[in-house]
Amino acid sequence: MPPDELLRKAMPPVEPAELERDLWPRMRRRIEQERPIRAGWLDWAVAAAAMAWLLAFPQAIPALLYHL
Amino acid sequence: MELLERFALGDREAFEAVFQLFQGEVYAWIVRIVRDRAAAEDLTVETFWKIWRARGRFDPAREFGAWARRIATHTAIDYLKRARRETGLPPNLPEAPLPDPAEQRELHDAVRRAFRALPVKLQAVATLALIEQRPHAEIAEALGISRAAVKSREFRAVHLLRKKLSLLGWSHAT
Repeated sequence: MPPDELLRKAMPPVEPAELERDLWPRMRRRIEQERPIRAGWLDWAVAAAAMAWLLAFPQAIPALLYHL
Repeated sequence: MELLERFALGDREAFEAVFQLFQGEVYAWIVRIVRDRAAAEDLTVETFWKIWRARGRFDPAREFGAWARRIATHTAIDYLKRARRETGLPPNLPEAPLPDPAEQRELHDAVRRAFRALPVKLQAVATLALIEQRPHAEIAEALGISRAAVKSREFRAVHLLRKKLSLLGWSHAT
């Protein structure tokens, strides 16, 4: 018996492949989970303060990188 | 504006409409490749997630179904590769539906083992071409390769299958 025929006998085609439920609710959750994180005003303030500190004291950058 | 144009511009409602139109088709395609209904549901969501992220690259003049099938095929092949790395076997291969005499059952087990040992890309082509008997043109489009390449992979799959069956002591069966 040719291998392709043998294969079909050992592993019959998948029938029928009807979807049993609507997958949109899962899709919607997935989209909502992956939304970009929004930074609040406090996050922006801390980031601005850190940036200002680094601009005022650039000599501190290597030390900061060493400790990271 | 057409539905696919709105989808390509990032309209969530248009995406939902497209999802509703094509989820069954994408699921049916994936289940043919991975042969596991639960995994196929997850992979359908995964495929549409990729489709949503790639919406900017979609040309609304093209056929959406073919584009989706190509993304679905690569998602399913990646899943088969992961499954093989994790367990050494692709999941839930269905058995022949009728009770077999012992020797025939052994032969079918050997065929399934030989099939599982095929490289995943050959396995995908063998599943679609030999088991599901899909047209070469459809498989070529879904894999993003030529029809000649599909035929070549099909030929290599059959050749390897015969070789592996021979190694398993079933050379007389083929």
